[in-house]
Amino acid sequence: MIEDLKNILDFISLKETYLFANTPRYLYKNFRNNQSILILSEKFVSSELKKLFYKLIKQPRNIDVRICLYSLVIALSFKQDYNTRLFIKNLNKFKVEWFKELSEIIISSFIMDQNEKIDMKFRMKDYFDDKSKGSTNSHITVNA
Amino acid sequence: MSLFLKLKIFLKIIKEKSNFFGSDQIRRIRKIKEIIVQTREANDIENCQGDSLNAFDQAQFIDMRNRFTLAIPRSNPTPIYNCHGLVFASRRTGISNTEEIQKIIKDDKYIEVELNNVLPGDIVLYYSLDGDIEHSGLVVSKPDRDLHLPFVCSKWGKYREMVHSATFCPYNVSLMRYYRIKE
Repeated sequence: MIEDLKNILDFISLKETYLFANTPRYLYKNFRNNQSILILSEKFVSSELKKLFYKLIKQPRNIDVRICLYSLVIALSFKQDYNTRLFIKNLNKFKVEWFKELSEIIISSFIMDQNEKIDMKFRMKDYFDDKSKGSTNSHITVNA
Repeated sequence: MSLFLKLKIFLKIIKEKSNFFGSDQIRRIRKIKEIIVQTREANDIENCQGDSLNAFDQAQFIDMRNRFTLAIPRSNPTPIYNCHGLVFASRRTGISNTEEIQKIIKDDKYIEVELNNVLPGDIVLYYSLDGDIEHSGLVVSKPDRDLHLPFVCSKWGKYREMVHSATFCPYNVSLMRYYRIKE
C-alpha cells in the first residue's frame, strides 16, 4: 500500500519537507503546495483516503509511513465534507507528532475559507443590489 | 446471568487484557516527552523531544548529503531537538510552536539588530510570509565583505546541525531578522 502511495506522491520532495520541518505550519504549507498531494486528493474520495489512513496508522511508524500519513491528512484538508472535518478535528487521538497542531491549522483554514465564501456572498449580494438599483459605481455600467 | 451476558463480559475482559499486555495499538502510542524549559520570566515553554531514529529512518538521510554541498554538517541527524531547540533550549528538546518563540523573544528581552551590526552569538529567525517562525540559527561569524551575509549554525528539522551562509538553507530567506540580548 505504501508503494502505491509512493507512486502517486512526489516522495523525494515530501521526504525532504518532512525531514527539514521545524514547525507543523512549515510541514502543512509545503505539503499542501506539493502538486502530488492535490493529485492524491483528486484521485480518491474522502472515505477512500480515510480507509488508507486507518490501514497505515496500524503499521509500525517509520519515516515512509509518517510521510504517507501526513500526505493523507493534508490531502483530506482539500475535502470540505462534514465527516472529513470531524475526522480532522479528532486527529489528535492518534498520538502522532504534530497531528494536534495540524488539526488546528486545517480547522482554522476551513474557517477562513468559510469567511471568504461568506464575504464573497455578501459582495455578490451588494453587486446585484446595486445592479437592481441601476447603480453606475461598478466598473460595469448598468442601465446606462 | 444469561449465557449471552457471560460471553459479553468474557470478551470485554479478554479485550482489556490484550490491551494491558501491549496490543499493537497501545505499543504504537508515542510517549510525548516534554522537559521543563522556562523563559527568563519563569514562563513555561511547550516543548517535545522527538522519537529516536531506527536504522531504516537513518538510511533516509543518505540522499540528502549531496543536496546541500555548500553547508557543512556538524552533527548526526537527530529528532531529539530542532532548530528552535538548538537556539533556545541548549539542544535538549524541540520547540515547534511560533507563539512559544515569541514568548521567549519578549520575556528574554531580545532586541532586533541590523544586519550591518550582527556579531557572532546573535540569533537569526526566519519568518514565513504568514508570520510563522519556520527556522532559527546561531550566528557564528560577522557578515562577510562580499555578500554581507553572516555564517549561521542551525539545525535543519530532524536532519543535522549545519553551518551555512545565512541564506543557504531550505527555508524562506526573504524575511530574516537578527536578535541579541543586550542586558
